Amino acid sequence: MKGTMRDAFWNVIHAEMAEDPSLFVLTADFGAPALDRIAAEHADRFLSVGISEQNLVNVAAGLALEGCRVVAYGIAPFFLRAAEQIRINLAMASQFRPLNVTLVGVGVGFSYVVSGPSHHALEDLAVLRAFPAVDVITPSDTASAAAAAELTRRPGIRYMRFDSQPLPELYPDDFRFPDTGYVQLRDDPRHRLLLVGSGAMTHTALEVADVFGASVVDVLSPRGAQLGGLPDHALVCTLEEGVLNSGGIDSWVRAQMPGADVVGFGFHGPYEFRARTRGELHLAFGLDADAVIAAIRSLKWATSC
Amino acid sequence: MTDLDALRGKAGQLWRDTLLLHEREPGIRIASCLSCVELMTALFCGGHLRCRAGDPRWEDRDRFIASKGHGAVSLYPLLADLGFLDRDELRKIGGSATPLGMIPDPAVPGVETVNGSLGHGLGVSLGMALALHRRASSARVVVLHGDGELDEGAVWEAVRLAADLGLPNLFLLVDVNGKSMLGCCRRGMASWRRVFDGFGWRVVCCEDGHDLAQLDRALDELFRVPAPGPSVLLAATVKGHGVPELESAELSHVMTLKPSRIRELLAEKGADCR
Repeated sequence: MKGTMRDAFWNVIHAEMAEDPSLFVLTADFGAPALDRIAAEHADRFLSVGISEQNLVNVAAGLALEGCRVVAYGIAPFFLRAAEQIRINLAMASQFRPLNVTLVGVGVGFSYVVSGPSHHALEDLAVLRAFPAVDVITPSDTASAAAAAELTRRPGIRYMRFDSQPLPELYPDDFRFPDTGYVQLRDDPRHRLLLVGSGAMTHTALEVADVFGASVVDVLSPRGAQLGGLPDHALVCTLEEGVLNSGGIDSWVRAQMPGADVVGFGFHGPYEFRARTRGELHLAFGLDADAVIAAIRSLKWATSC
Repeated sequence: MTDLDALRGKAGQLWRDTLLLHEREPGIRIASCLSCVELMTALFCGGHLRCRAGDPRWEDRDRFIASKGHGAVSLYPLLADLGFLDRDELRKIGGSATPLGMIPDPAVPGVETVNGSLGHGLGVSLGMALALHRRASSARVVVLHGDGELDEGAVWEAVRLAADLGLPNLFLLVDVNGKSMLGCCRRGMASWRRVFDGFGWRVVCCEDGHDLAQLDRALDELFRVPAPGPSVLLAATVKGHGVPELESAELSHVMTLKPSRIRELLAEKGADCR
């Protein structure tokens, strides 16, 4: 499925607007082609709240309390300013009454490259994953983004974080979002190396896996996923455009696999203000495939690999 | 025609009930609660808020959101009067076997939202009002804020949007008691009137938020005189009203009354201390 994740997602929602009168779309002054069609065809169930992410979440909560199925859209790193609104008016409130609110943020990881670190969503997964009841979802291609749109039919609080750039196709157009929350893309029958990727870094994981013949898992949604069912591997490496040792995918994998040797690749600070391409950002933080390969080779276990 | 004598009697009883709740749960911010007793009495008991006894989720109910959650325990006796909870439940506050906490939460029938952290209620109320307005419901959304709470930036995101949308079913009540936790608020009634007017809200002022006649007239104007958009009632009140040492203290927000003092106050008012 070609295009961007947000277009794939909104195309599904656009079709559902005609079928579900409870569906209400909010945006914090952020657009998309399919969103323009929604605004034109369903003006009574579309609203831009303006550049106000805290109010975006609060209004979404209020609509949901009155029975609406809400999709609220904004720029991913800017949802952090609404963390308390997500905590209180979505996570806590949903304990008392079923609420259906899906927050959609575009710009996961480094994908808004040249806008600089203020536009890089590096901490959002770690922060929002900490809230009970909030399901943090990171598609890795357009098909998985479209599949994620179907989750909006169910009660629950979800935060979906989309890459702003088109990524290589990974899944077929009829891909269904897995109940397990992850997809195993490659299997190393020797169980030597397991690479756990998320979003754009799943594609890097596949590139690295080609060198080692490694197993690869794409984490779409940590909540409810049980990686512990996978066979033990000699080494587990996590790859994310996100903070290290702070509740991101690396922390989650360590919790899932307590006996495993886990090495994390991700953002370790300080914030990079001068990079002009995503490649430069990956170089800065050792996230390019060559650096990951070299790092894995340098680890003690790999001498016989 | 509102029976003002009955309303005054009801406000007196609610004031006493609030003190009794504080006696059982000393964590209650009593000064914050006492400033809005008359306002809540007038709203709930003066025929302004449309509710159905025994049915906290009646679809056409007016929704009431206590955004100043720490100052809203007076809600409990009012919800008991509506039959949403057993009056005996009020005795249990402060214990473990009751949903009644120092800040009302939706475990209590009739409490719509999670509050305690300030500045959230108006935005959530806006969303509720938007849904109700879109489906042509007659239900209104009424949200109570403190004036110190107006410091929170998220409030103004909602103030602006509500005016831009022209939501006529959204009503903000501001308990202008002039004090937050660290002392006096810098703005008063006249300033808030200009601010809300400047944003395009219809403003109704009540210069004595403890006078039931004035409150009743103000709420009448608020709810019965149509406005093209959202409305705000600014009620000038006294933090800790009715308790001299709370009224005069700059830091009344954090003060707790001893049970012996509560008994004195209730005896002075000739209270039934059940």
